[in-house]
Amino acid sequence: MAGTDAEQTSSTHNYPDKDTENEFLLLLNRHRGIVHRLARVYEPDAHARADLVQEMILQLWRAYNSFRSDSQFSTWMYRVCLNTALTFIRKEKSRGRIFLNEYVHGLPEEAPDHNNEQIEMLYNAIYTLSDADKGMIFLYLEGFSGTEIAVQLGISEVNVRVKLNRIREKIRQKISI
Amino acid sequence: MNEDKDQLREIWNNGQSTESGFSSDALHRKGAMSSIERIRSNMRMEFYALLVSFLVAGFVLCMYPPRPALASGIWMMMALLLASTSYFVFRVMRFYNRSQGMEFNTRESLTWFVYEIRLLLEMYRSYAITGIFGGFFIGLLHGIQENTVGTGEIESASPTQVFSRALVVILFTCFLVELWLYWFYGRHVRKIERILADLGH
Repeated sequence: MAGTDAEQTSSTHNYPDKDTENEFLLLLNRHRGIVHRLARVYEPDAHARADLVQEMILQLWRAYNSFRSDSQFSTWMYRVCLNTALTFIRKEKSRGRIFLNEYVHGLPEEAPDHNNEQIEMLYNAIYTLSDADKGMIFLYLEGFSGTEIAVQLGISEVNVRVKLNRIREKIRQKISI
Repeated sequence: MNEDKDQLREIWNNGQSTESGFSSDALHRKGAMSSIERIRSNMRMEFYALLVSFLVAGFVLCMYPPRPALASGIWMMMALLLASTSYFVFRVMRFYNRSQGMEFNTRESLTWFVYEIRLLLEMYRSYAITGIFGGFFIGLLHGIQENTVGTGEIESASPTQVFSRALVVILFTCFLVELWLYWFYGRHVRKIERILADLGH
């Protein structure tokens, strides 16, 4: 799975001093891809995505005290970031923001003029999914197994497998592979 | 699930670009933003609380109208409270609206916020104490009207005793106001000030 790194941190995090902050930034930057990729999955709009990224960093920093050094930082990071993204999107929706997946079906099918067409198409297909499904497919694409996804999302493994098959099929149809 | 040979994962892994790293500044500025959001949210909450308290006070006075002898005093106090509250709310709303569209991503904007909120807190302090004593005075007048005040032991107390009791009530009220201000605003302002100090280094 993703994050097979074995980084361990030995210090305690009771007080966010400069050393703790540096340590946190080091780990955060090592795994910064998680934050960026997850934000992109949930936020098509670049401006709002920057807000989501900031929110994730803040929540990670706040929760850093609760991070147990015997677990992998990246695994913990996936969990915190995913929860933050879901809360953020829910809050934004309650403020009345319209999200791409609510009207993307009505958009004309255009080939993206981007160097990497396939990844753009993949993201566009993910935008049409529900918020919960986005989280699930993100973890899957990041390399998590069905069992690990079930643990991360707190649902049964059977449920994960059934749902993932459906989501993957849906995406495949959208991007025609 | 045929996970190992999934084309989707291949697309995903091949298509990711290099992402920029995070600095300590981003961490702190977002922290400041969170404190600012809390201050603004508390301002909103207090605005509605003020509105409701005035409606309740007006309703109570309409339900139990004061006697003609005391009515002018009570209504005058209500008018004074309303006027000072209106001015206070006007200042708070002006600050709230000005801070709404700001991104607070510079040291200058954070400094502006701290300076303005400190000024408002001073105003809040005097308004709250005046308001509490105004309310206390209205209650006293109402009590006299209902004959529930002026029949007790206070008439038999010496001026020193009356003075010391009043002093205790005043100090306790001020303490409560300070506690309220610290809990809802002061601690958040301090957090922003600490962040400003960190950014200055």
